[in-house]
Amino acid sequence: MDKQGHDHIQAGGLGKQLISGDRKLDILSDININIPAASAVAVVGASGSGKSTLLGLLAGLDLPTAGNVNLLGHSLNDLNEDQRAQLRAGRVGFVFQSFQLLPGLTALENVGLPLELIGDPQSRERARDALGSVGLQDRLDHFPRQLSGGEQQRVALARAFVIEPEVLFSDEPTGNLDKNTGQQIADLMFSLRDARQTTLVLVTHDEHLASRCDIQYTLDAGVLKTPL
Amino acid sequence: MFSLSLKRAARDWRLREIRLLLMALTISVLAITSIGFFTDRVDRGMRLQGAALLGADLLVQSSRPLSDSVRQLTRAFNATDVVEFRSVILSGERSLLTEVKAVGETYPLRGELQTSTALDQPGSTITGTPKPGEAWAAADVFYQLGLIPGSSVQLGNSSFILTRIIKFEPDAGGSVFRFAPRLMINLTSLAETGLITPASRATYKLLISGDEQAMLGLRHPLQQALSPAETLLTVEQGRPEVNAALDRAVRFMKLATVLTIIIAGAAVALTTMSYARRERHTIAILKTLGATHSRLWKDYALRFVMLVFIACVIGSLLGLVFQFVLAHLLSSLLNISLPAVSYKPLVAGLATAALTLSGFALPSILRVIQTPPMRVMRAEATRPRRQVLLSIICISMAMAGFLFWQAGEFELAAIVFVGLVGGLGLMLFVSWLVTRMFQRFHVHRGGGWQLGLANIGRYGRRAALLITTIGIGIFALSLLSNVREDLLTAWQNRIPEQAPNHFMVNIQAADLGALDIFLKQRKLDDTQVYPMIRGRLRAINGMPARAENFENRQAKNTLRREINLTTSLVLPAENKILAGHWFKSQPGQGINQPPPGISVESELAKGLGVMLNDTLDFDIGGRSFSAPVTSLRQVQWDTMQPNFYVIAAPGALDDYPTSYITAVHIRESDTRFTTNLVAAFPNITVLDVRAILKQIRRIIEQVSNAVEVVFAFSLLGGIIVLLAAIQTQRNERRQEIAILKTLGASERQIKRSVATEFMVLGALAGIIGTGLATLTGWVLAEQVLDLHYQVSWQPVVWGILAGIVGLGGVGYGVILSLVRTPPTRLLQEF
Ligand SMILES: Nc1ncnc2c1ncn2[C@@H]1O[C@H](COP(=O)(O)OP(=O)(O)O)[C@@H](O)[C@H]1O
Ligand SMILES: [Mg+2]
Repeated sequence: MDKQGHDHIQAGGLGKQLISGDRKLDILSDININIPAASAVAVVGASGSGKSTLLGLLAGLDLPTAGNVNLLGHSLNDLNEDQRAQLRAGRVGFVFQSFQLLPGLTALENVGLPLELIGDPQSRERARDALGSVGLQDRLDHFPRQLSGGEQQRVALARAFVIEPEVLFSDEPTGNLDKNTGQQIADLMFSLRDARQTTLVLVTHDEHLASRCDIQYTLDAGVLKTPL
Repeated sequence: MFSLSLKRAARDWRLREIRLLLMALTISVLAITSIGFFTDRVDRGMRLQGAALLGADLLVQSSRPLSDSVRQLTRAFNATDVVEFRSVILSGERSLLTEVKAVGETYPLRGELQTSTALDQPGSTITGTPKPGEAWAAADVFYQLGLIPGSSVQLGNSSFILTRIIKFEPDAGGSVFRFAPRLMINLTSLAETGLITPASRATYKLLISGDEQAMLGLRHPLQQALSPAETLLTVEQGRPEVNAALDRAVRFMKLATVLTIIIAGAAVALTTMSYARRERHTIAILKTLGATHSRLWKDYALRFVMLVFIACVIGSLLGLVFQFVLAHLLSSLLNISLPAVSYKPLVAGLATAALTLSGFALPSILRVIQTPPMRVMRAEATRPRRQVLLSIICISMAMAGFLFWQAGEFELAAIVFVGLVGGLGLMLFVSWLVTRMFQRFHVHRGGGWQLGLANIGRYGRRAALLITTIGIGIFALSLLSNVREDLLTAWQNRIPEQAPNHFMVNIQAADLGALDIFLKQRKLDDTQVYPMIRGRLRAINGMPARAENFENRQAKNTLRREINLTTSLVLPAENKILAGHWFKSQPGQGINQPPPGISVESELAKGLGVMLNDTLDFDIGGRSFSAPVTSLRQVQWDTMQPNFYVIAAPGALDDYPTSYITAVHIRESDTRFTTNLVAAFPNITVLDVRAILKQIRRIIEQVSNAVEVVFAFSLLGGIIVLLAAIQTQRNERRQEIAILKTLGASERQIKRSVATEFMVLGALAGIIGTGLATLTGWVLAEQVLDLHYQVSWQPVVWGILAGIVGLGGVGYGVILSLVRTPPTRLLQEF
């Protein structure tokens, strides 16, 4: 599949409404967004403005109550949860603010996980390489709780990189890290984009990080402001 | 591809939940296998013992010499002939009616014959039979004829030397009553006596023995080959007194095993809930990385299969060891050696573990697999709880499956199941009610206990969960302990220390007065004397009744021989009227008496198809007696009291030849009783049933021990439920307590609040659990175990206390570990 010249992600008329009791709550309304392949897009906005919700919809973790998302050529509304998962497997990577590593697995095993899910026979070697590329070649057999926050986030990055994803979603990847560590993480992400033509979708508070992206969107109470 | 799945599974062993899960599963496997191994062996051992009562594994009985077809079939097996008949023996001037038994060389094939060489010596086991020309005889023969061992007696054309005294004969017959004392001779000496002619009345028996499978296989062809005169007797029709006690014991053990599994099930349900909570997060992450439901499903299935496997191995091994210990302890009590362990309980263990896990754990796992991937972004993202119904169905099916399969008895299973489902429903309802009630409870001042009460209302689901699981635990344990208590006391009461151990039969009316004085002199007051009339059932409602026309074995047997009738003004103790009415006393009997009625034992009536108001016609010594059935009566065969199939209204049988029967308890020290009695009343036959009593007591003792062991398993299961509750609550409350602490709640306040909450919930669980247990126990006792159930308030109080202490302990366990930990760490660790 060609990676350039297409939109990797398209969303049209996207809305998320929650009904709690008899009150309707619009978390997102009428969002239209096109993200070209190999671009880096930042979504910024106040806490509670709906950034995570949007990211979840774009990645197919959840379905919208209005509109549709097209991810890597697939209309997500037409897929069920398993089909959406299969679409992500091997093609979509994630990095979260709270790292989201499995506490029961070592760094190496955590990184090998997405490869296992697509049945890669060389998952161990590739996972080791990926950890090497984030500078953790000496911490392969450590469990998450034995690693610092920055190291955990690098493991999470390695887990995202190891499948050479077409799209990398990250939700405040530097939010829990100090400035220097955050900088390192951001550098790693951009180097991936440069090396692999990966589309980056970043939700962040970090203005410096946002400014390094090609396009910046701002979310305000569920409404997307046109990019500057 | 599954290497990480395996790794994740292996890492799971570090989790307390998985260890508890394993423990709960292991307990249920342990319970079912050790009790299974044990009851299986005891059951087969009992069969052997039952076989001893028959003298064989199978017995063909006939009023004529055995048919060729039967001989043909049994040729390949261990078999020996016995011929029984009544005959008078002579010793000088004196004569005595005896029941002669001519036995083949290998008699008895099962069980042991005990004899002695002197009258006052205890019996000891003997192998072999009387030599030709010798005879062994019951002590009564010696007493009544005034003989000593070495004397000779004349039987028909032959003379026999009495060499031994028979003290215990395994196959003394289905009843303890015999009309004349035993004389045993060798089968080869029978022809010479000239007593057996085609016209003489004798019972021909063929004793057969062999291994279990062969005997099972032989039954059917043998049944087919029988001539109309022949009957096949099997081990199950051993002595009714023993059977009734065993039957009840086996039922209790089954009940206990089922309840242990249910308790373990409650623990499994609790721990999986906690485990599932923990896994939610992992599942969400795996889903974001692309895991599908089927992949996750396989992951967890793999883990559970491993769990089941390990629980099975550990549980069965422990079970095996345990039953060996148990069997070893009890083998000294049992007169027989138990047969080898069979593989059957292993299968049951595997099935139990698999079923418990799928029934009690599956709902939680099915639900947690549905965790939406969005949970990686928002911790509170969950699915709507649609599967409550599914889990209830799952659990009910699993429970029902267990109960029915385990109990193998519809009635028992149905009662426990209804009790359980009713209990679950009631507990959920009460939980709902209580949460509703406490929702109105507002915290005015920050008193710890007020917070605790308010928490019950706030966290309704949690309250319901605790009430239900702990309630079920209390239900099961309380039911079990009630029934166990009942069972043990009932047995002890039924065969009390003072139970009659000597029966006197053939008492003539003329001797009644003197006998009464004789007994009173020995402080044997208020002994009930029953008239006993021998009669043969001839017709039902005017239609001739023939054995050939009945399927029911008891009916057949009844029609083939004479049965004992009696009359009584009062309903004998331990008898229960099931239909109709007991005879009304008739003050000042007039000439226009109503036709006298009879009361018939209910099982026999069922076998004969006899209902109330049917007329039965008996042949009593050549004269006819007919009467309508005015009541059907349940008889407790395991009481050592004279029991009768048919009781007629007082006076109804006055005109027929009657002898009397009574039973007394003779102290062990009174060794001269029989001698004195026989000297004073030469006509009375005394039957010493001490050996039988001892046998029954031994069985009861053995079974009581087993009952206690099963109970211990259940208690162990109960402890695991509590541990499981601590575990779930620890996880659940971690955050809550951390937040309370951050907000400035004191340790004291938190302790009080948790303690109040748990104790209130515990009391509620106790009330519901024991209430239901009382109800279920009552139904069970009355319907299934034939016991009289004592409803009392004590178990309820104990149950409530257990609930308060148990759940209070859980609360304490939870707070103890959490209240000391700094709030930041509590929040981190989750
Ligand atoms: N399942 C939900 N239930 C209730 N409120 C929700 C749910 N999902 C999102 N919200 C609300 O929607 C808003 C946006 O949430 P989120 O996307 O997490 O914001 P952000 O990531 O920008 O901080 C918040 O106010 C949040 O409380
Ligand atoms: Mg967010």
